[in-house]
Amino acid sequence: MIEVSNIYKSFTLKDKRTLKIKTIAAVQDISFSVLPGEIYGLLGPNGAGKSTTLRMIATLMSPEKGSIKVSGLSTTQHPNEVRAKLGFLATDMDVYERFTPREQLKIFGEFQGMDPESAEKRGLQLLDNLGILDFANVKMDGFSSGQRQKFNIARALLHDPQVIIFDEPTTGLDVLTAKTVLDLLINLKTQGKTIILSTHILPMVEKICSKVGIIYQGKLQTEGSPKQVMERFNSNSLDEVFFTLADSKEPKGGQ
Amino acid sequence: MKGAWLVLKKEMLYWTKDRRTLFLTLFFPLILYPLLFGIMTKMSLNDSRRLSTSVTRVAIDDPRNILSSILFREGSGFEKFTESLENIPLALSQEKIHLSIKVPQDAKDYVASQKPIDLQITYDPSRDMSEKGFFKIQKFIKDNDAMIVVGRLNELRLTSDILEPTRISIIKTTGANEEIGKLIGLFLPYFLLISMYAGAMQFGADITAGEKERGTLLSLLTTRLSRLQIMQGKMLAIFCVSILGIAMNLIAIGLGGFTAGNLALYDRVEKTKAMAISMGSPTPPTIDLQSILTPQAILLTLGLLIPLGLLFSAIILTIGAQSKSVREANVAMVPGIFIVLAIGVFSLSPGIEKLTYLPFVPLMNITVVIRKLFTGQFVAWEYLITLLMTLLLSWFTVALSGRLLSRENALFKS
Ligand SMILES: Nc1ncnc2c1ncn2[C@@H]1O[C@H](COP(=O)(O)OP(=O)(O)OP(=O)(O)O)[C@@H](O)[C@H]1O
Ligand SMILES: [Mg+2]
Repeated sequence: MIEVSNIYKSFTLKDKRTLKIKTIAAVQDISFSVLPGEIYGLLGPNGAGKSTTLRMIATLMSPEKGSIKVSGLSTTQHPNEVRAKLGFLATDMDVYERFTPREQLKIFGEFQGMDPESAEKRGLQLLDNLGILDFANVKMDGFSSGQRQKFNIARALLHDPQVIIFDEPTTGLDVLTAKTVLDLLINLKTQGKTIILSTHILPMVEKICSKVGIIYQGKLQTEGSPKQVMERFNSNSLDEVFFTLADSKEPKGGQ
Repeated sequence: MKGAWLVLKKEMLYWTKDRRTLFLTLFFPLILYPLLFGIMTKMSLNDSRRLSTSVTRVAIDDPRNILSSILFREGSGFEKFTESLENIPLALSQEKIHLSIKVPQDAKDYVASQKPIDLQITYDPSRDMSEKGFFKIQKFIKDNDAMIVVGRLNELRLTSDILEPTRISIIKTTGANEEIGKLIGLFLPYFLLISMYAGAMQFGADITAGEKERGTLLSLLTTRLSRLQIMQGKMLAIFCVSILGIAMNLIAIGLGGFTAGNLALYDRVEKTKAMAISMGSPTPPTIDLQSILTPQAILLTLGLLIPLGLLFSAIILTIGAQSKSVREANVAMVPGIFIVLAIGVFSLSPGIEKLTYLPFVPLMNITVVIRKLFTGQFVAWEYLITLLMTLLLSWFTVALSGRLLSRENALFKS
C-alpha cells in the first residue's frame, strides 16, 4: 500500500537570459493513498506534477515536507527497502543498447536479488506476454521506441514487485500492445498488487482505475472513483471534467 | 558490498561489448610499444653505424700534395672531392662535402724547419657527418703528428715519455644505454599518467553522465541497490578499466624492450665488423632496452600507478556523476588533463630529481620515482614514501567523493 501525506516539492530554475532564479512549486500539499488490489490513476495536464509525485514515491527524490510510506516503510528513512518492493517505469528511461534483452534481464534480476536462472525464466515469460520474445537475443540498439517501452515494462515487473509505479506506461505503444499492457495491469490488480499510474489517455483510466486523482498546478484538485469524479463535475467523461477544471482556473497554462 | 560487485560486473560486461575501446585498450599498446621501441633502436643503431662506417668527403686545397698523399690512402675513411666548389659553406650544408681543408703552399719547408703548419679546416657543426669528420681529421692529424714527434725525439735521443708528465686513464660509468634509459625515464611517466587519466576519463564519463544522458541510469536507480553500492561499483569499474589499460601499456613496454633488445643484439655483430673497417671512430653506442625496461622496474611502476588509478577513478566518478551529459562531464574533466599534463611536463624538466623535498610532494613524486626506476637511480625509501602518500591521498579522495555523492541531487539532478 502507498500512503502519501501532505508532500511538497519545489524546483529552482534559472532564466538564462535574465539570470533570475525562480522557484516552481511542482507539488503542493498532495495526499492520497492506494490500497492493495487498487489501480490509482494520477491525471493532470503537462507539468502538473504527476511525474514528480511518482518519483518521490519511488525514492528518487525526497519530499521537502510531508511523508510517503510504501508498505508501511518511509521512503526517506528506508529507501533501499522501499525500492526492493517497487516496480518503476517512466518515459525517460531507456535500455542498455549494447546488451540483448535476455542479458539485461539477467543483470537486473541479480540487482533485484534474484538468481540469474529464475530471472531469465521469468523475464522471457514477460517478453513473451508482451510479444517481443523473438527479439530476446538481439542487441537492443536497433529497437523501436515501442519495443523499448515493452522491454522496460518487463524489466519493471521482473522481480514480481508488490507495488507498481507506472508513469505513462502506454506511451509509444500501438493500440493492440496498449491493450496487452492494460490486461497485464488488470491481471496484476486481481493478484492484489498496489498500482499507481499516470496517463493522458482518459478512456483507459475510466476502464481500469479504481480511483483517480486529478492534479493541477501541483495541487490535488479532486479524487475518487472515476464515476464519483464525473458525477461531482456533472460530466459524462473525464475529458469533460478536465475542461471544466481548466476553465475554473485562471488561464495560466501548465504552471 | 555484494551490490557493488554486481554493478562492477555489469559495467565490465558492458565495457567488453564495445569492440573499439576494447581493441584500443588491450591490443593497441601491444602493437604500439614494440613498434616504437623497435624503430627507436633501429634508427639510433643505423645512425651510429652510418657515422662510424661512412667515408668523409673532403674538398682539399693542397697543391703540393702534402696532406693528400697520406690522407686518402685506402681504408682511411677519407675521400677526395674532386669537383671544383664555388661556395664552401653551401656545399657543407648540402652535405656535398663534409670538410674543407686548406694546406699552405710551403708546408714541406715548415716540417723540415720544425715550424708548425697552419692547417685551415672548415666544417659545419650542425651536420652530423661534418662534425664527425672533423673529429676524425683531428685524430688523424694528431696521430700523424705523434709519429713526426717521435721521430724528432729519437733524433734528440729522447723518448715520448717526456711529453707526458701525467697520463690519464678514463673509466666511463655510463654509456649510451643510460642515455636511452634517461630518455625513457623522461617520457614514460608523462605518457603513463596521461594515458591513464584519459582512459579513465573516457570510460568514467560514459558510465556516469553517459548513462544519465541515455536514460539508463534511472532504471539502475530504481532497483534495490543503494546509491552507495552503485557508486562503489562504478568507481571500481573505472578503476579496473584504467588499471587494465595501464597494465597493458606496461606489458607492451616490457615486450617492446624485449624485441628492441633482440634487435640490438643482432646489430652488435654487424657493428663489430663495421668497427673494424672504420678508422679512428669511438666505440659505437650499445643499446640494450632489455636492461632498462626490467620486469622489476615495470612491476614497481604498476605498484605506484594502482593507488593513483584509484585516485583518478574517485575524481572522475565525482565529476561524472554530477554532470548531466558526457559533454558536460568532459568539459569538467579536461582541467584534470591539464593538471596531469603540468605534472608530466614538470617531470620532463632536467635536474628535478635533485630537489630533496620532491619525494614528499604528492603526484610529483610519482613521476620522479618512475623516472628513477628507469635510470638506475632507484631509492627504496623514496618509493615507499611515494607509495604511502599516494595511498593516503587516494583514500582521502575516495572518502571525499563518497560524501559529495551521498547528497540527494548528486546522481539524479533535481
Ligand atoms: N528535475 C527538475 N528540475 C527542475 N524542474 C523540474 C524537474 N522536474 C520537474 N520539474 C518541474 O516541475 C513541474 C512538474 O513536472 P512533472 O514532470 O512532475 O509534470 P508532469 O505532470 O509529469 O507533466 P507531463 O504530463 O508533461 O509529464 C514542471 O513545471 C517541471 O518543469
Ligand atoms: Mg510526466
